[in-house]
Amino acid sequence: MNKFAYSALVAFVSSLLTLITIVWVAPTVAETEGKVREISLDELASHNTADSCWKEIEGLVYDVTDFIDRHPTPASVMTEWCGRPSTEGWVDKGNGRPHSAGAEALLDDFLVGYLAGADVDLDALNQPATGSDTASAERSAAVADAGTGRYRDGSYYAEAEPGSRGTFGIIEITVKGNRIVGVYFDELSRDDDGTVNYRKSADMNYAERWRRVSGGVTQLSSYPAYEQMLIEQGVPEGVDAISGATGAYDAFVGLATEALSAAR
Amino acid sequence: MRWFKSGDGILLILGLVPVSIFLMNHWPAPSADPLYWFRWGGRLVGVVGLTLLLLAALMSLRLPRLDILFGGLPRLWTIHRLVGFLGFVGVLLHAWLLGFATVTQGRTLSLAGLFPEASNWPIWAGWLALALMVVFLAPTFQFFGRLNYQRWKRLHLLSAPALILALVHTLPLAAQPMVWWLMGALSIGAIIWRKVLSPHLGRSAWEVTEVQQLKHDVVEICLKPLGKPLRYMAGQFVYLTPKVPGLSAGNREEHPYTIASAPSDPLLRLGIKDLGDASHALQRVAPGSRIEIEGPYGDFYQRHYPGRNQLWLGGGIGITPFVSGARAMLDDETDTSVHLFYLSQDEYRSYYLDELQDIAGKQPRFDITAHHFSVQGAVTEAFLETHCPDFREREVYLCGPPGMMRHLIPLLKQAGLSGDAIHSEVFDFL
Repeated sequence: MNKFAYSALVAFVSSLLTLITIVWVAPTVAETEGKVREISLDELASHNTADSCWKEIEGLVYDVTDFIDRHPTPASVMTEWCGRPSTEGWVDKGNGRPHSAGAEALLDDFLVGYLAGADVDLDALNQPATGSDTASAERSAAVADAGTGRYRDGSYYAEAEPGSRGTFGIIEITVKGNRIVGVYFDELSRDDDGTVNYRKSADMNYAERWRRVSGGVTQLSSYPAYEQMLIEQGVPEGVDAISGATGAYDAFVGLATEALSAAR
Repeated sequence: MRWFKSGDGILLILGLVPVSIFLMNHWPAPSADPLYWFRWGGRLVGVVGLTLLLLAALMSLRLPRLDILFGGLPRLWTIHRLVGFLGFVGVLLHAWLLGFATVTQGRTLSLAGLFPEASNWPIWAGWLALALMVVFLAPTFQFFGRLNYQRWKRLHLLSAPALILALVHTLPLAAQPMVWWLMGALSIGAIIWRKVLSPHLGRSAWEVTEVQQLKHDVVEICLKPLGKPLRYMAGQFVYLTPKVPGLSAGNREEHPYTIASAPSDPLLRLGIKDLGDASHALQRVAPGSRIEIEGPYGDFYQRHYPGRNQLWLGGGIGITPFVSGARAMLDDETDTSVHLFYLSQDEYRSYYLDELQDIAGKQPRFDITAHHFSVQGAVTEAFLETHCPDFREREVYLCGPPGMMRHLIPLLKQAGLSGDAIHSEVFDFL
């Protein structure tokens, strides 16, 4: 039995090393045709089961059927979004956090098209991918284009679900001449009547507690800094996290992405 | 079905629960996609592997008398090892299958499924659990040469954090985590009992009344209970922990020793041969010393053929359970006859022989034949036949050094005895 288990361990380690080598040597298996097509809301809605599950995320439609089994949650978490615009479930996994960059790289592989009426850069999407790095680079380039040139004028508002303390993030973004010119981000709470009775940006006690934990930064400067970065960079992806305020960063980027999806 | 004990059934049922729950939740859909089967199979062997590891942990419970359900502690330990190793192989297969299933993520090859970013902590907990398993199994694989019993025991404690990490890996990903909570609690509870509670609650206090020097390297230690006396059967063994600060080695370490006294004896007698540091130190333990005893364990004289007479083959310190059995025969009221072959190197190495011959004089159903290897050579079928003509119709009990067992068991089978009529016990690694 010792020998058998030992041999199994040796075989396991060897095949794992083989696997790593293969991935290292050959990062790309095959290239699918880079053609994407327009998909109507009705067509999207017809793929609403675990057997054929399509989702719209930020204007693009993905066939994620094969991924349901691989997704690290019970299948129902994924299947509840089948056939629906799912940006909300994408930027907030249910715990206030967006999906990771690794997940985003995987998502590219399931692309089938774009939602009718969505403003996406077809040229960039139809480029045949030569590797996951370039694919996601092109994708973020497409997003960046959209960010600087394709926002419609107006003001856009988004609000998060209340968290465990009852507070919820809000954002308001104003676009003028295709550029973001104003951003307001805060965390609020409402009383039973729906009246806003709390504004985190004005809560100096909270700031003191935060300062003790972070050693410096609090909401007092991190919120305006994130707002400023969004104005300068034009896209949520351009905002950098500030050390000591990464929770606020996640909330900010999630809300900004949601608000701006309405601006496209 | 003699090899199947009722305890095995309990383990089997416990083990089937999580596997059935998995199958009920994830009954495979017919699919021609090999990756689907890799994924499904990978998860299934993961469930099986964790189940086996949890059962192996549960088997470390070591409660006196409970081991009888499993045919004695040595057999329970054998199952523990088998189940543990199978669990380990299951876990390897789990990572291997899922590794191959996740490498092709659509059109790119990626290791992100196997080695995700740090925030995906359940996966990393799984890796860490596997790494810990390799570390505590390393001495078993003899990576670092021959293993030291005490060090191996301490290292084996890493199985507890490995199990906890394996549960951390599984609980967030499982569709029905409740079964894992329950089984995890049982298994961790078993380890806590064994390592934390039983050293205080599971042992009884004894005092050394006499140390009889049988040979220069064999003693019989006589113990008087300071609390409740021990109820045991002939052939059982106990774990002995000396509480003797001046002892040259092995103070506060537990080691198994076979009981040599009959159950009716008010004193507990243990036959101890100088085989290592701890047993060497006990050769000189002073009367009045305090000893702690945990047990009894084992089911040496279990019967598969209750109607048959018995053949006992003992050699070396393996004679001890037969000394206990022979002493017990003095007040035995059954009609079973026993023939004991005492195999030793020469007359000097035959400790207890005088007493055993004395018992044979008093108890007509007990016979003894001494065999000296250096004079008579290895035991042969003809030798057994000459001294015990009906040995093929008897139920056989063997205890002795590994070389003796390797010689005798094939010999007995050659002579026509069936495997389940042969009971043998090597206290190799308890």
